Amino acid sequence: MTAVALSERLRALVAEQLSLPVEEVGLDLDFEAFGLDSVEKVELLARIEDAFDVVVAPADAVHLATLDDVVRYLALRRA
Amino acid sequence: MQLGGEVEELYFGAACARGPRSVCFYAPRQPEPLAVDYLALLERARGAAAALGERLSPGEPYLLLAENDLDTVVAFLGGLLCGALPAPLSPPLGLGGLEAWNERVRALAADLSCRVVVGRPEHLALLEGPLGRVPCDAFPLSAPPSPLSAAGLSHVQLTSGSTGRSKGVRIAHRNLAANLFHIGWASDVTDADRVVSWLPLYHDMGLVGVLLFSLYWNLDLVLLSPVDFLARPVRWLEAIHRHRGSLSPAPSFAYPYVAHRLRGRTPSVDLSSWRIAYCGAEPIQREAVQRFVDALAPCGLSPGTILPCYGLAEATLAVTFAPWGRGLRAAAVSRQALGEGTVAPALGPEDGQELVLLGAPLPEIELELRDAEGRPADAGRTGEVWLRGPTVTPGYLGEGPEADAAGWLRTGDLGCWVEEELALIGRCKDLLIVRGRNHAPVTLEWAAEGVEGVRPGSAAAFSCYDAASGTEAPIVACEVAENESDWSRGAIGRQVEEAVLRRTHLRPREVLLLDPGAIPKTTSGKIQRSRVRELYLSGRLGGEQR
Repeated sequence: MTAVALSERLRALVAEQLSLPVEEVGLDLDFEAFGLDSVEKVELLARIEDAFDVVVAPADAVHLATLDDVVRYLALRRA
Repeated sequence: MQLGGEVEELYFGAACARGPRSVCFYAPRQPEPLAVDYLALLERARGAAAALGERLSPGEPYLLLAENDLDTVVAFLGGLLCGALPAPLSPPLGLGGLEAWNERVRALAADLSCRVVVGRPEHLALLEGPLGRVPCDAFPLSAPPSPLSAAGLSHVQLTSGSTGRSKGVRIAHRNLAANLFHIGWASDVTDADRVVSWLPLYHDMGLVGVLLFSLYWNLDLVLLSPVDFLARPVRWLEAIHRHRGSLSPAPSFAYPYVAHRLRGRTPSVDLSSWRIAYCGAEPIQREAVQRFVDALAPCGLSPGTILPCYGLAEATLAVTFAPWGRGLRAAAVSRQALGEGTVAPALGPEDGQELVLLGAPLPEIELELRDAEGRPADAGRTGEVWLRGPTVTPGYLGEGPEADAAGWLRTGDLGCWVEEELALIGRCKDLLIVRGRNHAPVTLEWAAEGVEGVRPGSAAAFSCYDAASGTEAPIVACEVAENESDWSRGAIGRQVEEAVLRRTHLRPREVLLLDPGAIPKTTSGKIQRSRVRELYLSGRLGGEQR
């Protein structure tokens, strides 16, 4: 999967999870600044793990502050 | 096995006398659990106590990064056996948030005067700052018995303050001895009972209601990770099915949450063994919990299983229990009368407000409703809940006792008696007082959240002085998607106003539609209403007005 395709798929997933139109989900979306509470952050991580078939160690997850971070992390894992 | 002093007797006496039961830990993503019996747990805890006792003085608190695993339980019990006070808190969870988590740890350590953090090496590695780090995976596996008496403190329970700053409630062994006994008594517990839970061990319902309760009564315990529950809620039901769980508690939000995530599917599980689903920790919305009951009736869940309860960490855990086996029961009281501080039957469906009945106080707990001046409220009137008894805790860390000289604790919760049971209206300081009448914010918030386009769980209701009318006026703030068009925002705003008016007979003076994330919440997701009001008054609450 190309990086672009990965980004698009991730944006669509996050948009669906947060009940937002996908145009509003930029790669610079910062989870903390966006106001996700701990339940939403855990749920979102679980959905990303399921959709991309990865397991993200907690010590790595905590550094993934924006969608862009997640894209780069996933791209590296799949390389 | 020989037990040492009173602390070992209190938590491991039943296991010793009757043959130890076990705790099964389900690690995230591991299908098979790890089972450890309670006397093996005691051995490990003694080893941890020896190591912790070298770093900490008796009575000294330490932060414990708590997951629902063996190492955490051993590191917690080890504290009890050496007299140091574990203060469990959550490690970083989910995506991002490292900076905010470190800030929280720093503030806690300062407020509670903790020098040391105990946790898994991978979590300790994320810590910044000069706190001492003690990895919980390197304790000796055993040590001699602990001689400690049970006259002192057990641990510290962190509560999320409404201003965002946590306080540490000191819990004493005598508080636990009383509450654990009475919870079991009120639950009609037998040794055929099996506890199943995903509740995090850093919340009092999980720590006291699940872990210490199971140890005290020597009941088999199945512990899931809260992360696994949130990722796939049906795991909770599957564990109850697999292990024939009979007792399982949850905060009241969890029940409609599970119903929502099931999305109309009926899981293939048999829940007929589940005899008590404790439901508490926050105001109970009857129809929300009912959705759970209805969704799982085909799985053998009896409606009588739901047990509404009321409690708070400052009184250890449980204060009132509805009678077990009765299920959810609400009374329709007069909204008008309630606004004036009286309890009366509803005059008709338009006037009805539902209050879930929370039962009577547990034995030895005295409960009084008092007015704002601290005098007993007249019969038939609402009042603040005051408590006295062996479960009232010694106070917050760093402060004197919260209870007054006669032992009475003021809870800050507003309640009333309905059909001789306690019903809760809300936190006293969150009440909207409009034209001299009291209104619980949740009634306005639940109405707003029913409107499509409003983000679930994001509504906050408060009141502000309105110069034009010379009285307080209600304001409702909630979050909607950022790029809702002006037209649909207008429609959503009108619908919120109508929904609130219909439900509560209050017309909001303003309905604020804010961008996602604008409503401040605590780390456990609770809305900080006083902070919302503060931001509004200083003009810093983002978004546009309707």
